[in-house]
Amino acid sequence: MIEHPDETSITDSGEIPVQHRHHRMLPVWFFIGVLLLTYGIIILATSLIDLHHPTRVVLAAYHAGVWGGVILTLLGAGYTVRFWPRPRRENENLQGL
Amino acid sequence: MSTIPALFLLDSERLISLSSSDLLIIVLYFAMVLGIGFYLRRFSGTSDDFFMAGRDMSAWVAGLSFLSANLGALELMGWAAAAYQYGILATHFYWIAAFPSMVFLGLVMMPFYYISKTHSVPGYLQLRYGEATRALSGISFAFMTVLMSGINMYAMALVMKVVLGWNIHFSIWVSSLTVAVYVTLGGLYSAIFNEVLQFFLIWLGALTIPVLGLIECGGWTGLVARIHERVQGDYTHLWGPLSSFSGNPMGVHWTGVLFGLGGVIAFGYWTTDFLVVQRAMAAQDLRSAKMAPIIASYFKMLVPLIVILPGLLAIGVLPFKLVPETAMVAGQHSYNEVLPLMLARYCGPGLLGLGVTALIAGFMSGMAGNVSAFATVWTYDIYRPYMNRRGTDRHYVVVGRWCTILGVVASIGTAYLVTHFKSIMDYMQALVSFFIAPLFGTVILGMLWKRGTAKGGFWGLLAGTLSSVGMYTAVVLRPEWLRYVALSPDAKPMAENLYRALWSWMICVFVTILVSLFTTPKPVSELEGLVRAYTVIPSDSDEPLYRRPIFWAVGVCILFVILQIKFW
Repeated sequence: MIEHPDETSITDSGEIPVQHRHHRMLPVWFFIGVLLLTYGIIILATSLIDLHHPTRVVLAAYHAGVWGGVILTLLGAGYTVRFWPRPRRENENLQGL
Repeated sequence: MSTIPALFLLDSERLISLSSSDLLIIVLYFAMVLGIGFYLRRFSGTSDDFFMAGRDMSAWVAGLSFLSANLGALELMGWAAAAYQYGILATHFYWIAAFPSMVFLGLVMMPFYYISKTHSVPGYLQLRYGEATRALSGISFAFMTVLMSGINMYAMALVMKVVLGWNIHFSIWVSSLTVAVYVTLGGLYSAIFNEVLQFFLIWLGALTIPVLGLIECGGWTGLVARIHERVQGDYTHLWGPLSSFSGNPMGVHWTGVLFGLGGVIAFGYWTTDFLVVQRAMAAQDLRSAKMAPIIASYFKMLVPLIVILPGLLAIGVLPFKLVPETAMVAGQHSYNEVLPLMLARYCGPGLLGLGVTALIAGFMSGMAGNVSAFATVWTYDIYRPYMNRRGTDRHYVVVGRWCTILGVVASIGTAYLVTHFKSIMDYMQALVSFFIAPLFGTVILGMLWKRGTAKGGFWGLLAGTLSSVGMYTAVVLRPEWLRYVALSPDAKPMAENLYRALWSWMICVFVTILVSLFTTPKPVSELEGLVRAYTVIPSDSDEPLYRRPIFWAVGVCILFVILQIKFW
């Protein structure tokens, strides 16, 4: 084995062995939550503002924007809260993916 | 909210006008993907992190990313258009062409990819057959991937021009620079994170269409009645119309769908295309790697809801007929515009922005997937073995980052090449099929047949690829020969693709077996962990039933059978 300081060791055959490391990385679900929450708020606000001036789309009376906004907001808020970064114990799986 | 003209909307003829909230949603998406790239840079310092996402992905993340790598906007818009053109037959590409091969990958093939600790499919071929096969596979894959990325980029720019009126150069440069930045920074981590993000955006952005469409039609029964009123032929059954080549709009026979599509093309794509397999190989353990394609198969079975159903709904509800791109005149719309048209039909401000963002996300993650796979194969399978074998780990990460930039630059070049030579797009689809079908023959024999030799693998792959190219060229030069390739004079190009794949796979397998029987096999010690006969696959019998991949594989199998019976 050839050791390189601060780097993954490389075998004589040139293969880089797989190592499982646990990073203090925010899970992808957190980013999804934040984006969906933001989108939900924007779509809900837009749809509520337009509620009395409906756009010319088919089935506008169903207010799909309002329903979509509510669903995105709830989904996004759920993910954001569930995966909000919190201090964790050292031996806990920190990755959360 | 009012509709505002954006500064960069240079073309006044567009399908959709975006409001300020729609534009805000799009801008936020770009900000988020760039932010994720900058955030993940700190975690991508080693080659294992940069190229394999640290092999830390859970089954769910790997599974959703596995599916999303295939769920690009080109795919969504293309198959929605195919559903409008061919009806529910297009669903075969999501059901028979996905579930069996994805489950096979998870249960049978993934253990060999994972246990062999290889970093890529060409890497597996090097371990199993030797350098020559790796070189052939690696170079062709790198070449194909970067070209596909460019075509994806061009297609996105074209869609943005038609749908939103955006300048084509603006779309190409903004999207490619964004992809270059976030993949160069975070490597496969960035690609996977953005693919999972795209998965949510695509579902949430497109789901409005089937929900409101079915309400408008009065449910599935109402939709079927409307389709029967408007078009001739069977557009709502999966297998019934396939008893003859001439009895369906695709011009295919059930044997072509079952063996060519469900057998060779699907197995070739899902089990050997490194673009998707790389996601499963990045899983944190063998169980997660096996589960990733199985999880993906459930969602793949549901994708027709947001792709095929909008195409069928368009037949039933649009007040005008869509036409092929080649037959379009002013004021008409082409099949390819069916998804944006349906978005514009049902989605007001905000939701429309979400739908358009989903399309952009699909295009960009498709590009990112191609570029990250290119960087991995180039660095591991071309640069390291043939140019610099003794570099440090950090050196390979730097090379990978430069390869990413190189891949994006080459993609931009391809995009502009396609702008001038649009027929390249047609050839590219054929080129992909040249390599995928025979590669599956080589890999599957390598895993399941211990007698396969290095020479057998190389010559089989070469013979399969060349025969596929030969059949394609023959039909281009002498169109009447289609009857020999596709077994019927009534066959259409779709059928030719399916049968050509089948023949090239069979030729690959035949040549591999023949050459192997006359050449010396590798010693057993070199085949451990690579071939079924010499590999101990860890048992999962200690796991509770619901955690075993086979349990979920049976579940998706039952779902598949129910859907086939329902729509037979």
